[in-house]
Amino acid sequence: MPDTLLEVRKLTKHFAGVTALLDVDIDVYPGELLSLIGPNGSGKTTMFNCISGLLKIDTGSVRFKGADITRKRPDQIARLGLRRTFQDVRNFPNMTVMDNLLMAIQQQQEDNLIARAFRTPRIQEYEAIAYERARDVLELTELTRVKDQVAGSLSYGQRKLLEFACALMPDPDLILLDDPAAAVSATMITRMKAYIRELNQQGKTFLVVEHNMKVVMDLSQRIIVLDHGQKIAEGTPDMIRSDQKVLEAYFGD
Amino acid sequence: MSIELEIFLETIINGLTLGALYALVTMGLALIFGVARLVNFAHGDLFMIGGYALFVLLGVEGMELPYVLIVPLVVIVTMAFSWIIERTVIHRVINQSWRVHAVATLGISIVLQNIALILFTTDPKQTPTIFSRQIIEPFGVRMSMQRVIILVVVIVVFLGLQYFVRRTKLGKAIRAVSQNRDMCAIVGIDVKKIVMITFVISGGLAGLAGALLAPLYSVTPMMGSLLTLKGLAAVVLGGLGYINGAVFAAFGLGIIEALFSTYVSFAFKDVIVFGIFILFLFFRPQGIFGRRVGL
Repeated sequence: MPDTLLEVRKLTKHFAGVTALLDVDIDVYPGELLSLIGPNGSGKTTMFNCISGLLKIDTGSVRFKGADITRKRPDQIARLGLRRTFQDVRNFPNMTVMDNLLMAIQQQQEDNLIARAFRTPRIQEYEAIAYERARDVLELTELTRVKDQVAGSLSYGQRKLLEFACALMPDPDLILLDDPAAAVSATMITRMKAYIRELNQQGKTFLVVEHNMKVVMDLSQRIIVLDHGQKIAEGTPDMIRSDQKVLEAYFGD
Repeated sequence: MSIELEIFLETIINGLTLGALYALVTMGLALIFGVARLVNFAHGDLFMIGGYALFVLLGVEGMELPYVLIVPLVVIVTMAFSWIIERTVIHRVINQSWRVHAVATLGISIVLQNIALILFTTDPKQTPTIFSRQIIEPFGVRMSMQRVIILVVVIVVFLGLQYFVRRTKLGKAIRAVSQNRDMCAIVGIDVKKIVMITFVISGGLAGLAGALLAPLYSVTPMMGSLLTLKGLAAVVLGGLGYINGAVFAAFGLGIIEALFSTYVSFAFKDVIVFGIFILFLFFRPQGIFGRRVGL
């Protein structure tokens, strides 16, 4: 077994008396595509918010690439190479698609405030690199055609794709996708699946929350099932399909 | 030139100067509102601090500092004040509701005004500069050089701000935070740091307004309050957080106020500004250009 890329241990999160997550362990191994599924309200998005630092964790720990990120800020976690998307799309609506992508790569080399307030040669150098990367990502996600359009003017599916493209920008080690196939057209689902599969085959690691079971079963190498904030099953798609507890969680009382 | 025309032109120049003042104040208010959804009721007091900083720096014994050097110093002083205010109060309340924002910034306003009262008393302080004493008469219209400088500086600052938020990395990050905070955090932008920087820039603009405008008026501890409200009126008229709209509204309000005080009533000049504001709140709360999300 290779070293874990992401290691969630005994993660617990309460919201005003409601236990959203209770003692959940998750291991994500490099290069795999792991899906997190479960009925509505089972804590999947909360888990993403805890991992990415948007929510403070009550107890438990999260380690990424061996480093403890439990108490880190979301921007710090992002810069370590962990990126995510949101269930309801987030973009910068008044910026062009290209600018959205350029925003999505915050180079660490130039943290000098004064330099960032002006366009120094070094900044321009970084921007040139970022621009190249953006062109590749646009090509990969077939968004080149709309690169100069303002993000707010795109269709929902395109905005979702743009958010995915933004997550790819810094070439992160781990990408968390929250419902990538939700509320988009069948064509867009096929496209999204193809991109994810292609990247995963190239070695990119994904942790995916997804409601579309067909997408989940097609893409995942492993699946973790949450119900009422607790892990009830873990295994390959075939194992999950026939798991009694999972069937009960989805179809039982 | 007839005397009527002369009065009219002087009124317009007065209006443009007032508009420039409101524009500088409103740019800062719109910036920080856009980025942090913060209505800063202490914003005008940073203008007041700028005025007193100018007064103090002009009066430094034995060192006749030139005005062109004093202005940037005043801006630095107000930015330093803004930074202290941000570190001590604003960053603690920034994620809370607008009610908390209102109480916190009104509290800051009261504290700043009372510090000014203790240090400088209520006596209005005059801050004449060589430019405010220098009268020029282009096309037969009398005006002080100070007014020309004010207009030029405001235009330069406005264009500079446009360049800053559209072209530089930091400026783009400021716009990004105003458009979607969670997304910013997720792409690796330190949102709180951006809020802090925006607050300091916003304060610097208010200080600049103080350094430029105080020589035409006089400096008193309470001078900021009314200005905050007028600046906020321009922010709302411009479409909440839309800087260009707010600047347009600021100049509009300045010219209307000047025309009203010349031809109708000087005593009721504030009534017209807030009257327009209230009418907008009733009939077009989204502002002249409509509501937008973010800068």
